[in-house]
Parts: sequence; structure tokens; C-alpha cells
Amino acid sequence: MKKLFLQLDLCIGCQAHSLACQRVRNQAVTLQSTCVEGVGNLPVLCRHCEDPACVAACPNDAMTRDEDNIVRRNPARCTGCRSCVLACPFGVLSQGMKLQVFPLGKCDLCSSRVAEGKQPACVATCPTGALRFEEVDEIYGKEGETVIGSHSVGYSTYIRRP
Amino acid sequence: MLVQKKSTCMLCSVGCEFIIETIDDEAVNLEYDKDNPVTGGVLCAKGNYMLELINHPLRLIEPQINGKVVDWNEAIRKTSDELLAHREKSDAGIILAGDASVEDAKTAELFAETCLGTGRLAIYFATGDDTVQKALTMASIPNRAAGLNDIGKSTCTIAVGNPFEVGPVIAGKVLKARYARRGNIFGVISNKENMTSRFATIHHYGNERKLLSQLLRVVADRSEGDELGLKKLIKELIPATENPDVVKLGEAFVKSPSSVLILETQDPVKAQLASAVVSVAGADKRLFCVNTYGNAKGICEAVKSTVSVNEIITAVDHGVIKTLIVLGTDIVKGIPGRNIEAVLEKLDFLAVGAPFGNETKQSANVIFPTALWLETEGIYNGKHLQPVIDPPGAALPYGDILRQLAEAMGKALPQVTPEPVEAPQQLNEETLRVILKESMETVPEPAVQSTVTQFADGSLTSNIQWLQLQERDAW
Repeated sequence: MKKLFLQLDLCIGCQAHSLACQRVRNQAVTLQSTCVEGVGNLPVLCRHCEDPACVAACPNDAMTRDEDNIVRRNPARCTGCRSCVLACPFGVLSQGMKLQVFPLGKCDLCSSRVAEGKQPACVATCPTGALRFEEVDEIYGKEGETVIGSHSVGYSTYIRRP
Repeated sequence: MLVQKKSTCMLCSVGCEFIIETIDDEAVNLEYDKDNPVTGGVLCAKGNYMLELINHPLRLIEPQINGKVVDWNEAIRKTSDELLAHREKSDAGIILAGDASVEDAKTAELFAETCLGTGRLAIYFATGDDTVQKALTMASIPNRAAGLNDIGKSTCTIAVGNPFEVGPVIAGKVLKARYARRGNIFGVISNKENMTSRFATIHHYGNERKLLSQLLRVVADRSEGDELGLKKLIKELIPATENPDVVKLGEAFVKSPSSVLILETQDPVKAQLASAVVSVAGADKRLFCVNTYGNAKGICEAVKSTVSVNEIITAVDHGVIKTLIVLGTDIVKGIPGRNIEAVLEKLDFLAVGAPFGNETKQSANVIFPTALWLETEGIYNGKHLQPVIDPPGAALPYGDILRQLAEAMGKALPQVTPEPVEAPQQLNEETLRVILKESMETVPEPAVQSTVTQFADGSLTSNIQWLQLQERDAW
């Protein structure tokens, strides 16, 4: 299973990921940036949790986790109640996500691009190679890299040199 | 049928390549050029907007006279008549955008000489004055320009200013080199903490001119050869420095087998100092210049006789210039700190050629739609680029518009073939004396012109959909 990871050592906060995401996903920004004081603007990534709080919170079954382990939002079912926004423990959905305006705005790991053999847009554009789309097992076993907060819900998305 | 065409981004000088996918000559998608040997297909925030630039809703497609849509011949006739009528009474000027091809810039130079008879041609580069132009010509050292791959392999990199902000793709290479081996040096000299200095192993904040001249002294003390014969003078003019950071950086720069100095060029003095540092440090040291206009370097080398935009605006303000042609740039928004709109009202005639609707267009008598660099053939920064799509509607390249105007005025301009680039001047004792004197003066640092939110000439800033989304608060 491949997931998105951010290598903190390499992120310069240029926000190219956000613009690429917007371009590929028809103007809906699903990858947001958050400002960490003294560090810069880091991407906030959906972890596609194993037991997602947003799916549990959704009263209309609009949020689902499919067999590819991707958490998706069904725009036809979404009423914009923002229960998922409140439920997300990582603040991924709340980062300026405008549900009513862009019901499509949920990261699905660019599944259509990946099916064509391409990388997700944010990974393909990242100027420093900080964003990576790799197998979870490979990332956790790599030498010289530490996954930060690996005991949290789902998988952590941040890696760093020790 | 889906056709993939490669092109190069001209929104800064790094020159990242990308693929435009077209169907029936209409650009439908931008794809990352994964197999590119230099960048690996990555693009920064600006590059991601290439498709929106091509298919922008504000693209101009028809010529206009005083707000009314007309055909080409009428617009050309009107402009040439006005230029001829005013030629005896007053001066005329022409301002050209920095994203023009080398051929177009040469054509503009010819047009200014033969048709306007004044030679008043200004090339617009981010600031109103010609500092960027001077800096670019001064920062070139023959055979010492570094490529992106050189940065990726260097063991000692020194950055001056904030190159990560202007060209985030450079950051990828710099950080790759910095983390490749323990002990690799990445030094930053800047006037304040910025995006680049956060990643430095050694950084020093202060006046960049002063710090660069201190670095020059340290490098002159430590290096062996003296190919320019300037070391004696450097030691005489610059006092020895005690600054530990600069000493460490200078030593590492000389000792390291592959060193690159990255300079974000805005200031001619810094450009001269940086090229002096690289020349004095040794034959294997390289210089990488970052600037906000992709084709600025190519134009600066090809076109010699220019004035600055500020000089033209001042001449308009004093009533010397009464007719003006502005091609491709938005001078109303692009020059901060001057009320350009009021100045433009003093003109008798203003012709604007622009790819997009902009503020300058509001005061124009005649408007020509122009093509972007993705739609014209030409030499950009040493690369011969082919058009990926046809220009929309009646839009034409700057050079074609000027040739048509010249023909209507009874002069024929030839198709320009750019001449081989002359080798830039070597640094000599006299220029060194001047720049060192200037480097001791504390001047306000020019601000970085290109950010994520600011495109080439600033004219598109308010029209980017992403920014509009940011402003629209749905909550």
C-alpha cells in the first residue's frame, strides 16, 4: 500500500503541492498548507487512517474507506454539515476546506493518475522531492530516516533524519 | 489526437522543462516531464500555472482602438499614422517586456532606431530602473556558469539572498548536495532570516554587499592562483575580517573540490562582487545566477543600447516623449511607488500590446493582442524554443507587430538572426575599485520580486484563480 509522506528536512514551504493539487483536481485544493511558526508552510496530508474518525462521524455515509484503503468523499451524498471537519484529529479537513463550494475537495491519492502509472500531482511537482509516494513498509524500514509519531492513528506522514 | 510537446518555463531563470498536452492545437493538460535529466520534471507554484496562462479568460484576442474592436490593418494604420504625425514634434519611446525572445528584442531595438529615430528602448525587468540588467551583464564570467546538476554535486554551496524563494527548484538540488555527505557546507549570506537561511549549515545576517566584500578578502587570502592579478589590490582595499562565519565560508569555498556560489541577482554591485569571489577562488569554482525573468540574460546580452523604464517615464512626465509603445508588460502596476496612470495621461498617443488585459490597457489608444513565449518560436536564454500551440485569435508575437508597423511607416525591418554572444568583460582593477567603494555604502536591499503569488511582471497577480479562492471565505 502506497502512502504520501513528507520529509521535513527537505520541505521549504513553497506551496507548489497546493497549486498542483488544485490544477489536477479541478480547482479544489485538497492538500492544504499550514504555517508552523519559525519553520514555514508545511503541507497537511490526509493519512487515510485505518479507522477514520471522519467516516464514523459522517451522518450521510458520504465519507467512505474503500478496498484500496483510500478515504473518499462522495460529493453526491455530502450535505456540507462539517461533522468530518470536527472529527478529523489531524485538522486535515478543516484547513480552509470549503465543503459547500468544493464538494470534491478530498485527497484520494490521485487514484486516476496513479492508475495511469503517474505519481500524484503533489509528489510529481514537489521541487525539492520532500513529498514522496512510497510503500509504507519500505518507509518504515529505511535506514537513516525516522517516522515521526508512528504510533498515532493510522500512519504518520512525516519523516525526518534522526 | 493527444500530442505531447515539451517546452521550458520562462517565469524565472532556472528554466524547468515541462510537457504541454494538446488536442487539435488546444492546450488541455500540463504534465510533469518525469524523465528530464536536470530537474526530474518538478515544477514550482509558478510553473504549475502555465496552462492557466495559456487559456486565461483575460487573454486579449482582438485589436482595439479606444475600446472598440477593429481589424489588424486598421489598428496598424492608426498607430503608424500617429507615430508619423508626432515624429517631427516630439520623441517616442518603446517599452518591451523581459519575456520577449532575443529576436523580438533585437527587432524592437531596430524599430526604435529606424522608425522612431530616438533609440529610446527600455526592457522591463521587475524593477523600473536598469539595475537588474546591469547585474545580469556584470555577473557573467566566461565558462564559469553553473548548471543545476553542478549544484547537486557541489560539496560547498554559498547562497546570497533568497534564491529558494525565486526558484524553489534550486532548493531541491542544494538540499540534495547538503545532505549527501556529512561535512558538506551550505552557507547563506542574507540581510535577514529567510526561506533559504533556515536550511543553512552556516549563515550570517547583515548587509549583503559588505559581507560579500569580506568573503572576497577571505577567498583572496586563502586561494593559490591569481589569474586576474587582483589579489594585491583586494588586500589593499578590503580590511581583513574577523567575522568567524565569513572566514569559515571563505575557507570552505576555496578548499572544497566543487564549490558553487548561488546569487540572486538584483544588485549590480553584488553581482560584480560575486563574480570576483568566483574568479579569485580558483578555476573550478562556479557561479549560478537566479533572476526573476527567464529570458533576461539572453536579452541583456543581445540588446546593448537601452534606457531604463524609469527614464522613459520621467521623459513622459516632462513632456519630452508624447508617443509611447508598451509591449507585453503592465507598467501601471509593475512600477511601485510612482503614479504611472497620471503620467500616462500626459501622452498624446499610447499603443499597448499585451497578452492579457491589464491596467496599462485602460489608458491605451490602440491595443494589440500578443502571443506568449509558448506560442512563438525564438531563442530564450540560449535555448531555441518551438511554439507548443498557435496564439489565440489575432494575437501575434511582438516582433511581427513591430515589423508590420515599420512597413506601414514606409521602412522595412529585416528578419533578425541573433549574433553570437560576446564574451563579457573581465574584471579589472578599475572596476574593482569602483565596486568596492560602492560596496562600502549601505544601501537598502532591493526586495525579492518574484514570490509564489507574483508572476513575471506582477500583472497577473490579481487574476490568479487560486488567489481569488484564498480571498473568498466560504465560512
